[in-house]
Amino acid sequence: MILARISMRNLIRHPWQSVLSIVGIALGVAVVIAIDLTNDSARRAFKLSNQMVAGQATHHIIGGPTGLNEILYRDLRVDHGIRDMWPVVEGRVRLPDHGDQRFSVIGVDPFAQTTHSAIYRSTRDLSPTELLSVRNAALLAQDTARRLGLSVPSELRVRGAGGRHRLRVTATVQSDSALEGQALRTVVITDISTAQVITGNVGRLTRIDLELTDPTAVARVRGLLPPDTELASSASRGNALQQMTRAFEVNLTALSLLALVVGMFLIYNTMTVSVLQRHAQIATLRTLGVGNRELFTSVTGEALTLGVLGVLAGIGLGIALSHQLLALVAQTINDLYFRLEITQVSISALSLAKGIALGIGATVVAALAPALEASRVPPQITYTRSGQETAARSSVGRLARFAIVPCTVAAALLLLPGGSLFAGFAGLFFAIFGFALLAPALLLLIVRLTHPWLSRALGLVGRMAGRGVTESLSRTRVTVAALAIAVSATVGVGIMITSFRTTVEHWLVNYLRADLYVSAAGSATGVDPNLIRRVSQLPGVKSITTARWTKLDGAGGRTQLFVLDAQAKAFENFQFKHGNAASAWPRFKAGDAVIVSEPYAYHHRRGVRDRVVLRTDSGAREFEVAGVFYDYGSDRGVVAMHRDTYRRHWADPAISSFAVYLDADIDVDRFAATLQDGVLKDSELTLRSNRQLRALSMEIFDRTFAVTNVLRVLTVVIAVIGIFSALMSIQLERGREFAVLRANGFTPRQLWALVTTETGLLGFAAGVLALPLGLFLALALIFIINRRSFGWTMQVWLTPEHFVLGVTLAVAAGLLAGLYPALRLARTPPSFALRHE
Amino acid sequence: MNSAKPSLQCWAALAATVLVIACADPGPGGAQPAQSVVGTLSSVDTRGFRKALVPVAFAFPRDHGAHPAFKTEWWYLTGNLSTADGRRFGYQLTLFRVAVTPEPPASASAWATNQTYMAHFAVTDVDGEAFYHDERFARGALGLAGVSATPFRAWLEDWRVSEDTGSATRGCDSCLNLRIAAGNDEATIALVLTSTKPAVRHGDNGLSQKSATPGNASYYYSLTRLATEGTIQIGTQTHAVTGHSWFDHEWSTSALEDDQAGWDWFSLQLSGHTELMLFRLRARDPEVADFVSGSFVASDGRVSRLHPGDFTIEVLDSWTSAATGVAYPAQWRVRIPQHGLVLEVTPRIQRQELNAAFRYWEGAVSATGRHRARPISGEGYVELTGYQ
Repeated sequence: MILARISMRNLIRHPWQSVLSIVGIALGVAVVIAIDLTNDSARRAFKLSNQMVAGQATHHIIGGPTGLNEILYRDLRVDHGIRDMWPVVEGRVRLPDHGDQRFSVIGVDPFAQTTHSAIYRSTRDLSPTELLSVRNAALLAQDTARRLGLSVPSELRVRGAGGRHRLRVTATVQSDSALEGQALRTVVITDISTAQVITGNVGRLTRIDLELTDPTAVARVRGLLPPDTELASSASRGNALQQMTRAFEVNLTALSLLALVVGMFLIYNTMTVSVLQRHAQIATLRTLGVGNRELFTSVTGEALTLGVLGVLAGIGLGIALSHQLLALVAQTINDLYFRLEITQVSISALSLAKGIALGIGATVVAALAPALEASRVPPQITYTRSGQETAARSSVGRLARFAIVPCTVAAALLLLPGGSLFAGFAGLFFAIFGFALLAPALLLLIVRLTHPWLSRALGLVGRMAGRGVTESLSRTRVTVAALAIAVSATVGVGIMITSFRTTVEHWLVNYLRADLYVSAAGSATGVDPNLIRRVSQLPGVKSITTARWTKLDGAGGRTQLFVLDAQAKAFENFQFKHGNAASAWPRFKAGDAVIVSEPYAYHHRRGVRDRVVLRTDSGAREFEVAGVFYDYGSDRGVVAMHRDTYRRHWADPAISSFAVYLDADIDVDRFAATLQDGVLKDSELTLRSNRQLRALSMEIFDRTFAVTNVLRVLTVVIAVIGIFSALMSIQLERGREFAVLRANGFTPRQLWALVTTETGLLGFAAGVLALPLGLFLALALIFIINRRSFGWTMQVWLTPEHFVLGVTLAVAAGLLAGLYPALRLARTPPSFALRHE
Repeated sequence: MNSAKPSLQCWAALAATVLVIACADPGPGGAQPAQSVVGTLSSVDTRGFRKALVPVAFAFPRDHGAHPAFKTEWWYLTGNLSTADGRRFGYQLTLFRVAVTPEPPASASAWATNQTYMAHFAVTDVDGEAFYHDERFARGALGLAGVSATPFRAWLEDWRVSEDTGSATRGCDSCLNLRIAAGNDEATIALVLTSTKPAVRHGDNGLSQKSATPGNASYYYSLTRLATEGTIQIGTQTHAVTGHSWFDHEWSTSALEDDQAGWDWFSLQLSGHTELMLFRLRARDPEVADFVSGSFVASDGRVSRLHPGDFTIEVLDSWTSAATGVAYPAQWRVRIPQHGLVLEVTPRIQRQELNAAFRYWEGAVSATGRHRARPISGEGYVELTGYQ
């Protein structure tokens, strides 16, 4: 009881330290919770959006690039009496009157099923007779209608692959929950006939959903399907889709854990300093008969108090932060993976529990060493500060030698071939731990090296500052390590992003060789071939290549297919990792061979001369891999195929986009303007110059790393708070020492210089230490984490800015932390600090 | 002149309403009360549709097919069947067509249509005292549901009625030989039907006037006796059956009057190769006379129209459905003095209520009585709607 009171008093007597520790833990926990909530919200949104349409569907019949022939549905129902199924037509439109927002169109047959899915359920507000009797009747969620300022009935203009159409909003849907409202946020529900027309899918279905409960029914339906279709279970298909974002999520989680680790150092530091400060008090308690166990518990309890307060604050902060992060994560998912409406943070108890457990756990782990230390204080009143420092210095070598253990583990986790992404991140954390053990030794080295320089530059103050650092090693080593780790993280991630960005930029320059790119907004009918012919006949046009982007859905997941009619020359735009353009071209052009992107090769473990299986119109078929090319457009990978090959196996003449190569003497901008006002006038096609397309690609790239950058900044903020707290407590503790200096003739100005030089030196040391670790982290991220996540090859681009920034940041943090104590000490009359003597 | 069959108008609006209800979540209450269905009738927009104004000469096989310019139409089959050892069954298979707009929409999609279909299927296992029924809906597009005239075919998914082109109708233009197949998990039917009498045109040569309002009428004919054989499967048990069926075809664009509560309709096949069709449209106001009409078909196929005052229908008993709490009349005495006919009509079993999205009673009945002082017997179907 007394011990608890002493602990409490101790926390209250050092309010700055306590508050900053709480803030540190709170931020760490907040980041972890925010990322977990964000990931979880994305997963929920995905699930719900799937459920909205699929409902009770246990299976889907999926087809080729253009979906399914609608006659299949008729045959199954009329000829074979299969009834527990319903057709779906899905597509994208834009709303020209509402800022060109993107909406999904979901076409349903309300006669088919009435209770299977939320989408179908939502049609309860609209009679099917109305759906058929009102031309282009459409349903919106109530909130959506309100957001768009539409009453019922009203007109809604849309622009899709099937051209421009006027829909008639005849009813609104009241969603049953906020999540359901989110899933319907950018959805227009229409009759299946309307959806077919506006999305350019006349004659086709996106898929058929089924509810098949017994295996014989599954087998029966499977037996009835033509070879270009496949029956996939909802679970496997949903999983396959969700797998796409897994690596992205894991990376975010790892970054959030890094923030927590930095927070852990903070707690560790606070508790260590606190125990050291109270050595005399503890020794007294020991002589009064307080046992080791009680002391251990007392210190742990103190840490736990800070931890709990930090965690509590962290929960609130985390929830607030997740709202900010959600938009960024949603943007990336939509940019890179699939269309998904995520506006709602769903607060899951599990995410909060994880954050709480991690926060409290981290606090307890961080407090273990200081608590042990406290319990080992001998019961003697003779208290010598120098004793502690001697002990701290003698432990430097021991700690450094012990660093070999985590470093070895890290090396094994990072370098052993075939390691998982998880092992990669675990390796990173072990390496960071090893580094933390080495940090004190390196700190001493740096101080020793800078000592002559400092004493030359600042004279007595410089020499004293250097010694001050080594003499307070017991208090500073952890602080420096924490700051170094945070700075190294920002340096490492920064180098990784720059390297990645530069690699992508270089790749784009080689890859985008055409002058102009024209693409269809929708995906179904695509570009009119007559239009391409007209463009090709324009003066100045050297050549045109067309492309078709499409997805092949299967039970095993989704394959991105890139179909192009490139000539040998344009084929050379591909940069090959394995194989080469010359040897791949003949087989690619004429021999049913494909080339696959690097991430595809990585994820599917395919190399040159291996085979990939794709479901064609005549069933599953093997295609030889003629080469593996660099591609940074998709982290799941792409299979590229010649148009002739594609047309032999798929009855899909659509073209998604075409690239225009101009004669060298043509002014590209002028030609683009003529094209836009001429052939492309009134078309729904988007024209982009090489430059614009590159800029757009980089814009998406930067958006992708927006979350990463936020986390980076937060980690540094935590570290700065940490160093601020630690250094301030050290300096404030030295009130008596400084009073002696003042009494011996030190001016306030000199004292101020001494304190800031010392903290600045610590910051500098941390910054310098951060550089090799940062470089190491960058390399590990580029060569191990990135490869295990996405399979990309990146060139390392080292630019000085990250290193300079890192050191500057650390020094600034150090100086900042010295300012307040210096001011305060300088103002305190020496007699005040010495009056107890 | 007044021999309209008002049930068509009711059915038409009913079908439209049922389609609406079908897509709503029925909820624990289940079906919509019939009252609201009848109430919806007067609000049905019939502008732009063709109406039955004057008698027209039916031309077969064309008029067996659909008449999409009219708002509503139905093809209706009922029959009493039995096995060789005397086990008795009844069945009903009905296809309703409702046009939601007068003109088909201009759309490239094969799903686009103004025609909607609803089908009802029921089997009565008389000796097993069981009744099975089901309903389906589909749009009249993409071949999911529809009706064609040559050869005759009417279907909704895999419930189908199709002309048996392999068998001759012996110079009878209006006759049809049919194959029908329908069912669900509980019961299925597979039957072959052979016309034994030509089509009977009800009312004024097929124009079945419903009220004094011009156009409030339907075109209506029946094949009153089709020899039937085939199988009825209930659960895993298949029964070979024979018997007789009755086929109705009616189309119109008209609505029920506000002061009418519902209707009772009788189709009876009597010994001596005669048939009787009667209906009465019940007035809400007990002071106002019911609207009644009928046809008596002699063994040689000659039709006598029955006008108001030519017959009476007296209710002898009633039955209350345990499932819905609705009380229906359950036994009748029919008198037609000019033909010297007195009949007592009794349901084969009471529980023949179709508690579907729309609720009504439609069931197999037997009849006994005297015709010109000689004993007579028969069987048929009775339909009762608008009861609370």
